[in-house]
Amino acid sequence: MSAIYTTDEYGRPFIIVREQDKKTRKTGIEATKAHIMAAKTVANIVRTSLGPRGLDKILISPDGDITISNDGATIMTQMAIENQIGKLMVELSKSQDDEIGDGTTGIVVLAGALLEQAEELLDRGIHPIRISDGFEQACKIAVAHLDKVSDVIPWSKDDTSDLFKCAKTSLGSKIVNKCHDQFAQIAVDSILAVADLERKDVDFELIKMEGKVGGELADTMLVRGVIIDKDFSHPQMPKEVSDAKIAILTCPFEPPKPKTKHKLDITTVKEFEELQKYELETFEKMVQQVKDCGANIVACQWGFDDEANSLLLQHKLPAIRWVGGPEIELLAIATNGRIVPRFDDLSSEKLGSAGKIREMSFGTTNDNMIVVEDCANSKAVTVFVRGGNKMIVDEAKRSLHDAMCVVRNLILNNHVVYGGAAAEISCSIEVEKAADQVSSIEQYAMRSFARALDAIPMALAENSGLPPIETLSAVKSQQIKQGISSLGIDCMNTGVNDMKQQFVFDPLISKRQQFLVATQMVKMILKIDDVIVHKSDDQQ
Amino acid sequence: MSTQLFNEGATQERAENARLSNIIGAIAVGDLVKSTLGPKGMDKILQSSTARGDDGLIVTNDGATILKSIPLDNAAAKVLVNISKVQDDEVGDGTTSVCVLAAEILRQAEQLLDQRIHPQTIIDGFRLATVSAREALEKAAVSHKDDENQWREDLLSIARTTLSSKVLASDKDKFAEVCVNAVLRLKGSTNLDRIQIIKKTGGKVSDSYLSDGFILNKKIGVNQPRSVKGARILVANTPMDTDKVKVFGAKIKVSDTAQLAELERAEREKMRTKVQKIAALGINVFVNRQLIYNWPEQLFADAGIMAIEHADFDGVERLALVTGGEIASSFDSPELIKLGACDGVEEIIIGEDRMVKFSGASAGEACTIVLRGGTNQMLDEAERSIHDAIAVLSQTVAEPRIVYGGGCSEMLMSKVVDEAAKLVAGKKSIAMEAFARALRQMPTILADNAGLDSADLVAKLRAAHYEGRSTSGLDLFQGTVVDVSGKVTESFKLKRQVLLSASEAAEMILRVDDIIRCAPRQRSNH
Repeated sequence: MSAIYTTDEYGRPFIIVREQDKKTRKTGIEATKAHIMAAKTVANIVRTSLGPRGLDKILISPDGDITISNDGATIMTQMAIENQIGKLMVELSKSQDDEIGDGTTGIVVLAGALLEQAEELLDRGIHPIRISDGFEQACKIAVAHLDKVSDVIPWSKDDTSDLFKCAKTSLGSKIVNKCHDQFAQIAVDSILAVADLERKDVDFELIKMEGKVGGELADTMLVRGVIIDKDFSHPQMPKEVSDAKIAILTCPFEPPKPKTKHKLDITTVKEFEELQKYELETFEKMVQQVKDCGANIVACQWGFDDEANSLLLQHKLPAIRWVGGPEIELLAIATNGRIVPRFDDLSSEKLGSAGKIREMSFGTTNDNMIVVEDCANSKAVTVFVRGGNKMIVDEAKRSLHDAMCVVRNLILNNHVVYGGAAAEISCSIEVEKAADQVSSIEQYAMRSFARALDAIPMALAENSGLPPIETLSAVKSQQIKQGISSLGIDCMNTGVNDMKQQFVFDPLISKRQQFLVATQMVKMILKIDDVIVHKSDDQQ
Repeated sequence: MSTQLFNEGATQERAENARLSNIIGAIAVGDLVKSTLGPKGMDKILQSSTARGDDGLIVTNDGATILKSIPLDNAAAKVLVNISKVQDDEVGDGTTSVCVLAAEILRQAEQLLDQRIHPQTIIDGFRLATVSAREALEKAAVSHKDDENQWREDLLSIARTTLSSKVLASDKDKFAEVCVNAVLRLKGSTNLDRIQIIKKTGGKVSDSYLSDGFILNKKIGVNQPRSVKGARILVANTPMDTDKVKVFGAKIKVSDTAQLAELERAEREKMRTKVQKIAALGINVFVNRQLIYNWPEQLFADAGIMAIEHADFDGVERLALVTGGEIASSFDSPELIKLGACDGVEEIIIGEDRMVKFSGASAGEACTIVLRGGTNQMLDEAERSIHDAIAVLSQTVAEPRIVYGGGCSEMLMSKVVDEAAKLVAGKKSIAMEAFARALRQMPTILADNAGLDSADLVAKLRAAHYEGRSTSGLDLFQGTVVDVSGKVTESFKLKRQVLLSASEAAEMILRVDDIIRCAPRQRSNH
């Protein structure tokens, strides 16, 4: 922005914002209100996706591609929001997705509710900074209370039933709840397979998700190995190799290509012939080297020359070419092999081993994939997702990823709070109580924070077709009377609203993150009082 | 006060509107293709907007082809197009049925939504219905793979069912025979590239045949033998123009013309040795994927070898499969090269074109179907029909269970779902009944398309099923309810995929309550 400082004819200073007509400007309360409006609109879009009875959204990209999703972060990023505050909300959802992986809808709804409450306070003439201070205090109380009501769930490698229940909670709102148990089990199993329990670390790189349309969701399976979306390089190579010794190469089966710049001049016939001989020998040497180290299958990151390909076939060496970078790493990890960059470095101990490598074919279009099973190292797994159409496969992948994140979070920290908005209701009661102790204006802001927390159970109840206010007040009074903090909204109409009995768990860190980040973001928005937008040139 | 949230041009449809637009879109697609369903279904003409004249004109009955060609702007419609495409890739046929069923399910769902039933409740009901329908279908499926004659009869019947709705219906017995023979040659492989379809205009459709040998759509080199008996074939993929030095950065640098001539001779010499090496393998037919230049071609002619150049990837692969040879690219170790063999190779003429026919091949896992017909459109549609039929057959070979067509399976499933609904308490049962109704729509459409009194026939069919005649179906030629077992057969895998894809898609569309359409990307007009 380019402002110019000048003086008028009487010597009084004033500032000119250059080309004022090209810019729109909003200031003060007007700006804050416009922001709140925008944030509320965004929150309202995803609000109906919340909970096990929430609905999905169709998003049509500028190129006409369709995404159908229930995942907050996906919806937000694909909406292509122009509004600045809307973009902040997108970032909010994304940060929850990157950090926690789940609860991306909840955080947006909470932020929207907080801003809605803030608007009322602004109308009463409370200064935005006082509001954000009050929210800050309330948030501290709520987070402290979350810790208090959280429970530790015991789990071990043998007893994963509680992890399973948490994964189910995460999957409950997605379309994959058609095969609820199966998907939850896949999420738990895949995470446990790759988790480093000592360091409490989970490397998501080791879990690959491969999708293929066809069949149905229930055909989805966890493969303890690697699936590579490639064919064998020669159509006549054997389609199945047992007790595979796999050579993993990152050098092409092609004539040598030194990296230093060089020029090879052929001036005589003799040189020409020698070069021919050399070329031939290189090919044979390459294949011989692979053969000598005892490999019976080759995976290569690069392409093969026709001659090399034919030689490989003649030497009964099935080969896979153009294996992508991440896949080749995964393959190396899964088979305990080493990635070999030069043929000279090949030796038998660098080979990976797998019980079985086979080609799977699908449908009528000659679609093949190579499955590497019974690997030496079970630390790399692949989830193979099937479904009747492209959109459902994509959505299933996203849902599984969320569920896996939940399980990962529990491995990091096995504290849980109760879902079905039980934690929110309990925090709301606590904040309300604490507000009465505060003597300053912040009291109002804190009460508003409590009301904002109520927005989550209300949305849940509304999405489930229950009367929101009636349901919420019933649960709230029950919580206070009975002193049980695990009472929530009975979305599935089971007749039980104790989430402990319904086994609806959310990881504590996820909820805590939601509260903290949403509050932070609301504070930020409340602090903005001036927006200057440059109009683009073509709009003139 | 309103704030602009999205780009200019972006639109948002919410709640009822979103649902309405989805359901209407889906039903529109369903209605579009439903008239092509069944043996009395009609065809559609698709005229491309860009290619004028003969090229842009397609006459077809195939759902996937129709839907692929129509640019749709409705999200739900696109989902339906996608399931139809998946159906095509997975099973090859049933592309119309899957769309129509999904649309009918949504049509029923619309009425439930009008009764203020929560979409999730409807979905719950549909899920229960799908499960029981699937069980019923599995129970009804039979496999005759052990009994060879019966098995073949089943395959023929499936092929007839598939073909009966297509342009080849008049010769369906003949083509069913052709397709079944072709598929059985694959010995269980589902790789349809191995069945080559050669289309030649001229003659009539019934002149088409399954060649007893393999036909390669290529010509034999000049001055080479036109026919070889007891052929020993080398299938190769190797450059036969100039064999370049592949070492990177190599460059020929000469100072005078004498040296250049020397080098040229050396190059020629290199090619000659290559040809000699190939000839030394004791072959009399050489098929190469790449070009063969005049000079090596002449060398082959001198050696009395039939050389065929520029056979494409598919051609080479198929030929390798047919003759049992391996595709070779290096010729230094003759003991490792596996040659192909067949009784005879000869040049034949189909229509006006010359082609090479390999007959009496040893392995024979690939084959050629020669299609004849009056017009290009006719041939294209015939090819699509044959493709559908062999796709379904090859999948049936892999999954041998069969079910009965003519609306029989649908009525069976509908009956079971209806019965299951009676045992379910709550609103879900209403959704299940709706699902059963949607299933019953399939025979209704079949009958409607045949110009029969659908209400009367479907009621009769339903009665037959409730009386325990669970193999009853519609005979659309006579307009009666008959026992269809052994007459109208369909692949179990096809029917199952139709049911599952359709209900998954319907569920997906029902779950949506918001459609956000981004502003279309600005296209610059260059």
